[in-house]
Amino acid sequence: MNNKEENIKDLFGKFFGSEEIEKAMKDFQKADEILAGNPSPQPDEILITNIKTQMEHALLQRKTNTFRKMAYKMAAVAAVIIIAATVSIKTFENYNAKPQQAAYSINTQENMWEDENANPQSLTLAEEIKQVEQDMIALRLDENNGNGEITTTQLEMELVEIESDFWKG
Amino acid sequence: MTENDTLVRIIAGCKSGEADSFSQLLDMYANRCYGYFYRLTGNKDVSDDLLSELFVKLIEKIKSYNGGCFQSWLFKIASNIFYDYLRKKQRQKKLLENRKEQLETETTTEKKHENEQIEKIQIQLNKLDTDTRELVMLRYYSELSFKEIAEMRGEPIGTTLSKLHRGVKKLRELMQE
Repeated sequence: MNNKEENIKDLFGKFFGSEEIEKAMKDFQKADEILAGNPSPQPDEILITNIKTQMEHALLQRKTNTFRKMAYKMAAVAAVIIIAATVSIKTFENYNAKPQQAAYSINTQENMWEDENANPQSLTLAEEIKQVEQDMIALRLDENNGNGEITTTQLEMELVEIESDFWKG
Repeated sequence: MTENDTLVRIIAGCKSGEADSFSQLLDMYANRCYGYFYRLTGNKDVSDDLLSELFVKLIEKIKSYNGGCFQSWLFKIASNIFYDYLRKKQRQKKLLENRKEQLETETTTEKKHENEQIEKIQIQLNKLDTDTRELVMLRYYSELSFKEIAEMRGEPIGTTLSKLHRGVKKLRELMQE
């Protein structure tokens, strides 16, 4: 209380004159005496014990809630990790699969001639193209007795026609 | 170890969720907080409830305590609890006004019974308005400085001083009657 009284003196000096300070200090002092002379009842031991029990329960509940929240958070994180891993694996698989498909498509044309199960119509067309190509080479080498120019044009047209038929299927 | 060091250690324990630290805090402040509630309400049962509410609430609130005067922080919560109680009481009073006649009979009997037990100081304290009574009790039981009280109430120190002075002067006069 002394601390407060010192405080009052300093503080009241800023707001009141010297006579009023003394009066105010007496009022505060007297009020303190009145309150000290009439102490309030103390809390029962039973009440204190009950409050302690209540606090323990509240703490326990709080810990349970914290644990539950952590579990939910961990489950959410685990779910995200699983989803991310699945997506990564799928992406990796697709990444690996695409070049194979491309290679396969390239190989298809090259191996088509050697493939036993190839479509017979495709084979016939391929043979025709080969035949025309051979004729072309022969013409260019002038194997048809100098009458090559017109025949070459005809053959080229024929080749274009066959090729377009081939790609149309 | 000083009192302040002990308090710092206890608060750290409370923040970690240690039940023992909360028990220690209760042992340290139960009397002062109970006195504050009792002098404001004049009712033992209500004071019991408010004290329980305060310390259970402390478990939720302790993490928001970021240093500074602990008493000031504690009594701010106590003050809020008291005003919440008053508002609740006021609402109940309004609800019960419809049954005025029936209640009047009951209240007269109750009041008679209560007055027989209430001390003189409690009767005189009840003559002060709620705000002044709360302020006088806050100063006495929290042992806070005027500056801390003014900061806690969010008003200029001159206003707090003047209100407090009027309050203690009135209490003094009433007790001399």
